[in-house]
Amino acid sequence: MLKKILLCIIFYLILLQTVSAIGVGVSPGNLNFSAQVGSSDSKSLFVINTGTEDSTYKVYVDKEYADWFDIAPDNFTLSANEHKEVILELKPPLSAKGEFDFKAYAVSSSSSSDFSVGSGIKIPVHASVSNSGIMAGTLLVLIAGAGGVYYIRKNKKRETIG
Amino acid sequence: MNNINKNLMKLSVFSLMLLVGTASAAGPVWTANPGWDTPSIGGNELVSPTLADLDNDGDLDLLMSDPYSSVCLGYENTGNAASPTWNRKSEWDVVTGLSYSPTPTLGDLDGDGDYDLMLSYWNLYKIIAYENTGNAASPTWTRNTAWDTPDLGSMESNPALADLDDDGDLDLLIGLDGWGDPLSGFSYAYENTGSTSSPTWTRKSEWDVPDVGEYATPTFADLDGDGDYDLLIGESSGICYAYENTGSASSPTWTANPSWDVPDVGQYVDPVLADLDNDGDYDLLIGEQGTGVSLGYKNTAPTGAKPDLIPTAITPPSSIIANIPSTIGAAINNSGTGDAAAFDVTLSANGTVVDTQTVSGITSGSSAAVSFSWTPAAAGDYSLTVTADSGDAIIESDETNNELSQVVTVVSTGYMGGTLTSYAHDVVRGDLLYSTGNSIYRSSLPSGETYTVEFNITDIPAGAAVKTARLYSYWCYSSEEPGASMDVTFDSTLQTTDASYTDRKGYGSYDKPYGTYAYNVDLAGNGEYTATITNTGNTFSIYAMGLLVVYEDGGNEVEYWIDEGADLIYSKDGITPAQATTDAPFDGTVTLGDVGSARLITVVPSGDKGNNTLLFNTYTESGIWNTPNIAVEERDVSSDIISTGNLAQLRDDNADYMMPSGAFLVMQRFYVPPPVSSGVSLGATILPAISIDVTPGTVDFGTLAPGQASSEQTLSISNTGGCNVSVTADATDTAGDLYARGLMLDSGIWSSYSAAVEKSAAVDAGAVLDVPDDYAGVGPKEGTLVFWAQKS
Repeated sequence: MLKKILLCIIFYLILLQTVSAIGVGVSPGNLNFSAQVGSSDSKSLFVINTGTEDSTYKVYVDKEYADWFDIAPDNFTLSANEHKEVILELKPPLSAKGEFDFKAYAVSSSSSSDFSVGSGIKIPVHASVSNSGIMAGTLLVLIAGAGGVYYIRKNKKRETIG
Repeated sequence: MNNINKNLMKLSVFSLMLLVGTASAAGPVWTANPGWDTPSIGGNELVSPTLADLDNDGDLDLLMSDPYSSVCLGYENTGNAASPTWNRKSEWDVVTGLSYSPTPTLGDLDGDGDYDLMLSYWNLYKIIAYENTGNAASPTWTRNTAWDTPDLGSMESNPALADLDDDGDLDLLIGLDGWGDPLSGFSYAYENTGSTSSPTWTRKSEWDVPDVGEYATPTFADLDGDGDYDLLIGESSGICYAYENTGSASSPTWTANPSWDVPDVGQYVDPVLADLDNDGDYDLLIGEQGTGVSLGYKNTAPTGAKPDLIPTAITPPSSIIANIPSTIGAAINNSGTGDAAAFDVTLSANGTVVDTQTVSGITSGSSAAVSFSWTPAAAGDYSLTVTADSGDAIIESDETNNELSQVVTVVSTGYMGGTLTSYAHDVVRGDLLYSTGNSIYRSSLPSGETYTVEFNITDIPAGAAVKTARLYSYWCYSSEEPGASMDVTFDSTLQTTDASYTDRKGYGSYDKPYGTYAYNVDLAGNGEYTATITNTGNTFSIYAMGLLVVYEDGGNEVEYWIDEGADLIYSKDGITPAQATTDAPFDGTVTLGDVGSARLITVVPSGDKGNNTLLFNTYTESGIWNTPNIAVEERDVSSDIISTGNLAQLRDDNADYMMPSGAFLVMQRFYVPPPVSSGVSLGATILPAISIDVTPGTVDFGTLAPGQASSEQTLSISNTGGCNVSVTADATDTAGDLYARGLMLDSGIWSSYSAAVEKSAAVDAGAVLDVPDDYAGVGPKEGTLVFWAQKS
């Protein structure tokens, strides 16, 4: 009888362990953005609940790049085996130019009054930001402005001779 | 005069039964009849008799008080209903142990069909009750205080029971007496305001009877045959005074009628009225003081001509069919000398009244025919009883010959419709076919002879797989019970019967087994197939054989129902078309938006008369089956499908019998089959690029004190992604720095934890909470540990 009770307890403990698994999976394993200042680039990140119970997920990037991104959705709940597509849109600031490497994060957690254990994925992010578009636009504005000044002066001279 | 002198009034149920009009309209004439005198119990005190049939043998028995004790003595009438002889029957004695001088009266106070008892005693001041807890043939007297009267205010009393307000229960009149009692000589009334099964006595002064002198002892009967109770009240002078009820059966008015008085028989008398010679009027026993005897008095008033109603014949139809109304005839003869006014006649089946008819009247020497309607619920033998004058409305010269009984047999009928059996309900990408091949009717297939049908199957598409092939033999009029014996081969292979269905008329001529046998046969595809029946028993007839095929070819999605059976139906012999209807239900839920088309195939052997109807939900078609020998009809019912409860009904409208044996509903769903190609369907399950699972999701380190370390908790980290990963840990807490400083993983602080986990592998991490010595918080503390994975 005691043996049976012990087996039941062990089975129950195993069941508890199985039920409480917290998991997260992401694809792709890294993200590469390429954007010009003033424009944006979007990538999809698929987040899947590989655990065995409902979990809440957050997706974010390193704090210093947080203003560069619109992430939608960035906080959501998934049932076991459910997945969601998260769009990360890079909108580099005007000051940005160059190659940047940082990380995006997808992390799960279960609410508990105890000490909770979560799992998270760190996704390497590479962003290539150029400002060539801004330079070309500026040059175009300057050329147009110079042309305009020349035209006005020439017309004034003809009116004086006539 | 001592106070043992008693008066007694009685009303037996027997006298109630004879109440209605059994006396001369002119009233009674009392003539002493010493032959009815009771035995003497000795002494010189008043004896009080009461009469009722205590052993249920049809005559009146006697209870009579012993004035010197508390006992009422039982006497069995060992004579007969027309001539009583009183013999002691001590088993019926009422022994109470109370005072003395009991005065009994009998009546059924609880409506259970036997006589109960009310009893008074000297100096008791009330009437006490005894319930008969034996039965109608053997009384057992058991005290029932709930039926006692209230305190009467008088030392002695004499009860009499009768239904004085015609409400179906017994009321009570109590004659009062008692030596020196000023109430002595009055009779006080009590209405039963309870019920027929439980009396409650409520004073009713309107029914009281004035003082008659001393020691009033009432008894009731209808002395003038006018349908209400009249009254005799004994008195101490030895005279019984008569009171005619000049009111009504529901509201008595007592009017003295000296012409009915009983002559002086001595002193202190206690009368009881009953028909002691079975001549239809009321006679008397008068308890008397002085001899210890109750004296018999015969009512010698002329009774005049009386009718005598006798059922002389019960005439059932040739067949009585269960659940079908049958007309039962009866003849009632008046063999008496007087005419009979209107009366009721009942028909009972096994003791239960099933119909009542009123006869307006029968003159003397004539008879009347009565027709009853009876619908027996089940087959079997029934005892039918016709009772003339069931309500005892007629005064007859003989009240004992009003019944006639006869046993009849009720049969069930196979001509009523039943329900076909659901053999299959499924979905295929294919279709259902049905054929009777070249079947022809064979009126007689003697033993050993064969019957052959060729089936030429051509409609199964190439490449289709046969899911179901079911062969049916439809046979009839078998000389063998319970059904035809046959060997059936299909494509030369002897078949095993998978299902057999039989039915029969169940009565009269042509009552032979009919039926359908079903076989699951092997059928590869199109081709010519031969089915053969060989009679291995007695002669039977064959309607046809049928072959049903369900195939799958990957084409249209078809939901189908196969109902099969053998149900003889025929709207005749009282069976309505609605009853001669075979149901073929097609259970399940249909999504109406999916219905592309639907067709209903019905198979009806002997469906060749045309006077029949198919109903399918809202679809109705009359005259549908009119093909000789076996009718197979297919109808488009696409617009008649309903979501649930689809039902086909095959009905005979009174032509000739037919035997619905199959109903197949084939419903094609909207479905576009995939294009035929040589492509290969592709599929794959992609793992996430990076994925880990951590088990468990929560950890309880238990209750710890500063400086104390918890036991180790094992955390399992599984790599469930598509690449190898490196794992680090990050602890946060809302408990100061409890976890930040105290959480250890694999014996090191959490921040230094690192593990490499290969694809599809797992590692364990041992977690310990080592509470810092200087930690100041108390109570539950929450925190979070996140294992971070990144591609390694």
